[in-house]
Amino acid sequence: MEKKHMSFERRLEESVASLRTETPPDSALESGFVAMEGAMRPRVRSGRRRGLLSLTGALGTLAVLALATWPRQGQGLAWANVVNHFQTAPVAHETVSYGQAGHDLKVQTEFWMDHDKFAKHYMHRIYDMWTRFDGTREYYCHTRAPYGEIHTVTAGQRSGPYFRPTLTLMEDDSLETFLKKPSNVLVAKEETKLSDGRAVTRYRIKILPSRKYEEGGQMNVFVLPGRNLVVRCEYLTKDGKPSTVCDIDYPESIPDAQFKPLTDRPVYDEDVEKEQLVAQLRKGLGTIECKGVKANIRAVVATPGKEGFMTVLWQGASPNGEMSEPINVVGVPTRPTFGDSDLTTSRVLPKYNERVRNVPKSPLGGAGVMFKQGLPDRVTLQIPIYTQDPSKPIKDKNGKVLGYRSKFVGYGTLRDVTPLKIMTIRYFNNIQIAAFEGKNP
Amino acid sequence: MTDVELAERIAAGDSDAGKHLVRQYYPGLYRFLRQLTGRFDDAEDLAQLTLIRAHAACRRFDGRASFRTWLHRIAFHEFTRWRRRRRWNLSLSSAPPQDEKQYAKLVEADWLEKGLAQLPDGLRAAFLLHHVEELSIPEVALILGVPEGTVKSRLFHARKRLQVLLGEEANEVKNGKEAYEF
Repeated sequence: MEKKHMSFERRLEESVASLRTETPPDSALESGFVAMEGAMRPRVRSGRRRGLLSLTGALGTLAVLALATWPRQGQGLAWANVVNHFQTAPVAHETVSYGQAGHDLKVQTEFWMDHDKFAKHYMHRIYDMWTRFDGTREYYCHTRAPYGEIHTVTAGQRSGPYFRPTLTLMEDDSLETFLKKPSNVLVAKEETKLSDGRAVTRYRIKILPSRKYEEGGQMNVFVLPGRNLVVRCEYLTKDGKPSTVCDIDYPESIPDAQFKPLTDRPVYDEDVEKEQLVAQLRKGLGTIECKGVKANIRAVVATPGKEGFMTVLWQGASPNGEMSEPINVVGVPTRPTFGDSDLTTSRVLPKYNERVRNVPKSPLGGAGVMFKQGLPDRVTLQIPIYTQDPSKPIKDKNGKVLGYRSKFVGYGTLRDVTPLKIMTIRYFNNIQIAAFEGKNP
Repeated sequence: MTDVELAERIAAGDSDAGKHLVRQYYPGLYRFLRQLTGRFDDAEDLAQLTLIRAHAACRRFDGRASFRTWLHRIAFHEFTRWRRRRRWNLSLSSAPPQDEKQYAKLVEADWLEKGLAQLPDGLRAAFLLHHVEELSIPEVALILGVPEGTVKSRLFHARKRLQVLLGEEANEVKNGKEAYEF
C-alpha cells in the first residue's frame, strides 16, 4: 500500500472534516420528526414535562418510495402509471419495517388509509403511539413514553384529509433536484414472484454513493403488473441486506373501527375541554379577600392521575416567580407550589410570553400544585393574595419600568370547590385570551 | 424566516415550522450528540429530548443568540444530565460502538473519535462545537455557559491532549518528525 506522509495537524483536519459529514440515519431523523410532532400536540401529563406524542412515521421511507417510483427520463410510461396508481389508490394498508445489521426486520410503522380516513401506528423502542382520523375528528393515543404518559386519547377537530400517499411527502428533495439527481439509476426490470407467490415486476434501482447515501445501495420496487400498484419497496444496503422494507396492500375497504379511538381507554375531547374552561374563566368562582385586598378566582383546573395536578387562576396581582407562598389544599398533602411564568409577575419581561403580555384583558395570575396521593373530588383552598408593590419595579435592560413585583398580603380561603377536570390542556395563554376577548378558543 | 419568527411559529403550534426546525437543525444536533456520547441510540434519544425541550421553551427564545446556538445549548444540557445518570454505568471509552451503517462510514474519523472519547466532557464538547460544528468561540461559550477565555483554554488543551493521546504520530510530530499513514 502506498505510504503517505501525514502530519498530525493534517490528519486532525481531515478527521474533523470527516466528522462534519456525519448525518443521522433515516430512522433517527424520523424520530426527530416524531418528537417534534409529539411536542406540538397537547400535553397529556401533568407538570412541565412534555409528552412525546404521535409521529410522522414512515415519512422518510415513503420519501424513499417516492424517490424510487418517480418517473424520469428513460424510464418510460410504465413508471408514470405506477406512480399515478400509487398516488390515487383510495384504500391502502402499509407496513414499514426497519432492520439493523445482525437483526431481523421489525415493523415500526403501520398505516391504514381509506379515502379521507387515516390511521397510523408507530412502535419504536419505548414509543407506542396511535393517530387516527375518522374523516372529521383526529384521535391521538400514546400508550408508552419515557415519562409515563399512558392510556390517553385526545380528540380534536380537523378540517380535511390527514394523509395521502403522495409524492409531495418528499421532504428533502424537491422534484426538480430529484429529477436531476444522477445517483439513482434504473438498472433492471424483471418479472419475478414474491414469497407469497404473487407475480410481480421488480424494478431494480442502483443507488450510487452520494452525500446522503455514502455507501450507495440498491432499491427494489415490486409492482403488480396488472394493476400497476406498488406492493413492496425495499432498500438494500451495500451488502445486499434489506434495511427498510415497505409492504403495501390494497384491500377493498378497511373497517371503520380502524379509524376510531381505541376502545379500551377513555377519550378526552380537547374541543369540549376548551369550551368548558373558557366558560369557567368567563363566569369565575368568586372573590376572596385579605386585609382589604381582593383576588377574583376565575378557575380551578385539575388533571386527574396517579398524583394529580391542579392550577388556580385568578385576576388580581400575580404571584412572583419564586412562588414563595404556597397554595394550601386543606387536609391534603401536596408537593411544592409551582407556576408558569406567564401567570407570574415575570410575564412583563420580554423573554416571556409576548401575547399575554400585550393583552391587557387577560391579566390572569396563578399557580399550580401537584398532589401526593391523587386528586380529591372537592377541595378547600388557601390561596395567597398579593398587591402590587410600587417599590419593586421590574425593568428591562434599558431601565424602562415594565411592571412591578407583588407583595404578599395574606391568604384567602375558597371553600369546597370542585375542580374542573381536564386532560388535554396544560397552557392557558390562548384560552385566557379567548375567554377575556370573547373569541373562540 | 428569522430565528425569532421560527420560534414564534413553533410556539404557536405551526407544524410546518416544526418540520422546518427538524430538517434544519436535527442533523447537526444528532451529530454533535452522537460524537459527544459516542453512542447512536443515546444520541437519538437526546436529540429528541432537545427538540422537545426546545419546543417547550420556544416562546422564551429572544433571538439574542442564533437558534442553532440556542439548540446546542439545550443539547449540551441534556448531555450533562445524561452523563450524570450514566456515571455509574459505562464510561464513554468502554461504550461499545453501535453496529450501524453510519458508524462504518466514519471509519476515517475513528482515529480522532478514540482520542475525543478520552477527553473530559468540557474539552470534548468545546472541540466538537468549535471544530466540527464550526461555531464561533462566543457561541461555544454561550452553549457551555463558560467565559470565552475558558473556551479558548479548553480548545488549546483539547488539541494538546489529543496530540498526546493519539499515539505515535503525535509523538513524532512533537519531535519534529513526520508521521506516516499506511
